[in-house]
Amino acid sequence: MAQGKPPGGGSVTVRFVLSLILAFIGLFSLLALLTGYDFIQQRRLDDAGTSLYLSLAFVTFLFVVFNIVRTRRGFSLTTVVPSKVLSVVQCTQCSFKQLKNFALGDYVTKAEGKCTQCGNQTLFVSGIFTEAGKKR
Amino acid sequence: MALPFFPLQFPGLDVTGPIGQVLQILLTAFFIGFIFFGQKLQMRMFLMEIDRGLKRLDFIRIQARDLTLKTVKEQGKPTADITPQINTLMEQFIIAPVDMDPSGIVRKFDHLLDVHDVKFKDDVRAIAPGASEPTLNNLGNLVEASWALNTIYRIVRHFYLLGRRTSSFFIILQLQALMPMVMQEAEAYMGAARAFAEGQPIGDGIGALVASRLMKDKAQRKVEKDVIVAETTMEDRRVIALKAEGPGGNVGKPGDAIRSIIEENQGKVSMVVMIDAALKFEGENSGDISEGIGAAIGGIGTERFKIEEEATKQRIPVYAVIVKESILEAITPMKKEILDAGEKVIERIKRLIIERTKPGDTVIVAGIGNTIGIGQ
Ligand SMILES: [Zn+2]
Repeated sequence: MAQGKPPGGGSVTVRFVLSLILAFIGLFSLLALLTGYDFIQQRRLDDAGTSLYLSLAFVTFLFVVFNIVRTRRGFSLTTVVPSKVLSVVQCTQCSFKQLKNFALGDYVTKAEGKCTQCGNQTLFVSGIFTEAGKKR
Repeated sequence: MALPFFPLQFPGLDVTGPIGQVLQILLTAFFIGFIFFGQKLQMRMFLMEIDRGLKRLDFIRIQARDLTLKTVKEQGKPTADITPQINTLMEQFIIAPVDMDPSGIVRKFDHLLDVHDVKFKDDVRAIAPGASEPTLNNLGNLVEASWALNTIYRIVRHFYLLGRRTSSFFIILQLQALMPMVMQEAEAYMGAARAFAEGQPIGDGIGALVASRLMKDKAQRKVEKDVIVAETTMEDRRVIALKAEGPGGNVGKPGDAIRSIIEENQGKVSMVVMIDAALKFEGENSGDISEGIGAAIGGIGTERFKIEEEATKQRIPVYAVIVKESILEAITPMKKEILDAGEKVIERIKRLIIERTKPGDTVIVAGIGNTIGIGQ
């Protein structure tokens, strides 16, 4: 967008609280993962208990990571930055060709008057184009 | 290894102890809770996403409306405040004819569009009394782009509120899935509004541009509504080129024009070549040229119908040369690749003419598309 900042949308507080909760759960699951790893090392749990514990922790952790990535991505929009529009001025009698900035009132086939190269009144706008719009 | 570096060794943190139990219960509860309330949670997140898109749509729509107001004031020199009239125009609609009995529906559509065009132009003229004819057409296009953005916003808001009120997962899901496309379209319309405000050629105008090159400095006349025709020769064939009347934003009625030219020549036309911009598939290059058979013209279908009907009646082959571009490129200022495609299109037409007709034949070359910023 050329002017102004588009509103982000969504209540800021709600999103802040949600991300806090997410961060908390993430930390918590990380802790649980480490604890589980510790248990395996110390052989303090039977195998079934440990794997349940670990998989729960793992799934939770994945959930958090997935959500953070998804929220960050949002709509990946390609925004068109209004780019420069140029007019091609050409002469019908000679090879004269020139680019100039588009001015209000320009149109293709518009007569542009006298050619600086050959002196005939044969200058005209042969094309109007924009350079590749940059994508965000 | 007991992870000596990790400060986890605070007392009681083992699964057999009370804190460990609590941890496990919490995790299990969360996991099971997620199974039951996962969808609700997801719905919340979708709604938030849609809400964000909706706010952006609102922002774009207001920007377009402000641009329209500003441009009409600058170029149309209204005498009074035009905000109420603009607001009325933003909400206008067309009721499509009944299609239960589809025979003759094209004529009804055609009539409806004629009425709309006349009324719309009068409305625009009323708010922009100081505008010249081309400017008036540009302003009309600008108001239409602004109308499109307003309508997109209203529709999305309708389904968003409906989905939220009824907590219907499937309405929300569909809306969320469509949102990126809707946003892209809205951005495209915003780009179009900017181009219309300044009268710059858009990607869709490539057909008109090619026709304009063919008819430059030739004797021109107006046929039908807003269509300009000129005769030229190409490889010893008589070529009748036509395009909408520029440089104001205009698509004209090429269907009627082609029909009347064929009638003028008593059906002695060897072929019709139509040049238009066409939507490319993702992954294809903009400005690539494709050749095909059939009437290449967009819109609601009335013009295509007329061309097909006349061509079938007189047994005239209709060929199409299209320039590929995206929806965004089609309605925003013309890109260099597309402009450069113009020369190649002319080469294609020449080749088609040489291959499919004999010297002395008559060929119609129709440049289809919005001719904004393209004279003749
Ligand atoms: Zn010159």
